[in-house]
Amino acid sequence: MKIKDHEKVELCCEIAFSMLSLDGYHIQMVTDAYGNESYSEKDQDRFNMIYGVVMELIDNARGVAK
Amino acid sequence: MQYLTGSTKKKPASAERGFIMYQGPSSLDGQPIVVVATMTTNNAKTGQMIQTWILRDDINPVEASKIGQDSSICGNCPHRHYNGGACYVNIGQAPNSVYKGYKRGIYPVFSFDDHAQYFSHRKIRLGAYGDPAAVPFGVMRSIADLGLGFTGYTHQADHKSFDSRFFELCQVSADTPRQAAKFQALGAKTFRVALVGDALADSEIECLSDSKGIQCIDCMLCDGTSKNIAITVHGSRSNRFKSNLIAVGG
Repeated sequence: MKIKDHEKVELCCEIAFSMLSLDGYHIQMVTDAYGNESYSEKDQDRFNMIYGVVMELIDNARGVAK
Repeated sequence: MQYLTGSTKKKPASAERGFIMYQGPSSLDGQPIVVVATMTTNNAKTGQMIQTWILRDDINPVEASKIGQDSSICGNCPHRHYNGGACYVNIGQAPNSVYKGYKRGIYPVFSFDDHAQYFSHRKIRLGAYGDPAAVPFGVMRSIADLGLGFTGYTHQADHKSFDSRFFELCQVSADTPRQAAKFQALGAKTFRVALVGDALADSEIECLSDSKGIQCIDCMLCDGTSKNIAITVHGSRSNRFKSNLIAVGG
């Protein structure tokens, strides 16, 4: 299956988000002065870690497919 | 007998806070500007990307913004505070602090042989404040090529002095769908700021940082060539943005 780069990024985000909240973990969001919502620092770190692992796995899988 | 000599390694990357990447005339109006690259950031949206600050060399950025002299580094961007715009950059914080540091002499002038190592494994944000198109294209291209990847945004596509090669480096900022379509027809990838509830064009995706929580450092789609992006503006800023749209959009 061929996917575009932005689709790969989106897919990794979706997987990371699902894994982040998989065990019922309550994701903490923070809102800045302008009303923009983002993960708390702790949850952003956790999301980044999962995202990194997922992206690496997908990249490696792509490598095998070649 | 031989003696231990200790480490001969160069200083670690964290030893320098930043570098002066360019000092010279603005491509937009010829006034003196400076580009400073800083190594660390507190910006949670971008993550730990190297940030480049494009500032007037001779005027504090707060003052420059107040008297409209920031046109050397922001060109005709409609979001300049001087125009009553909704620019999200808090000029009194990071740009002011970088400028003061620059004037105190804390940033050495960049030398490829001595300093390229600080950039080689990093991703770079072109224009954390100031427009990359205010800097000669060759300079900005060289800065972009130092790292693993880059992001950049320009609001100068309509400026008379705009160098269209910046389409290779930057997303072109658009304030309306019509503007976005116009720039896309010229070969640019756009970054459109929209209000909550606005429609997304078929050629666009929503900013993944905004919609999926990823940081720019992991996404890197805003490189001028990957994708058209749209982002929503929230809260108090959206009110100012809306009135700005009426005044400037077309």
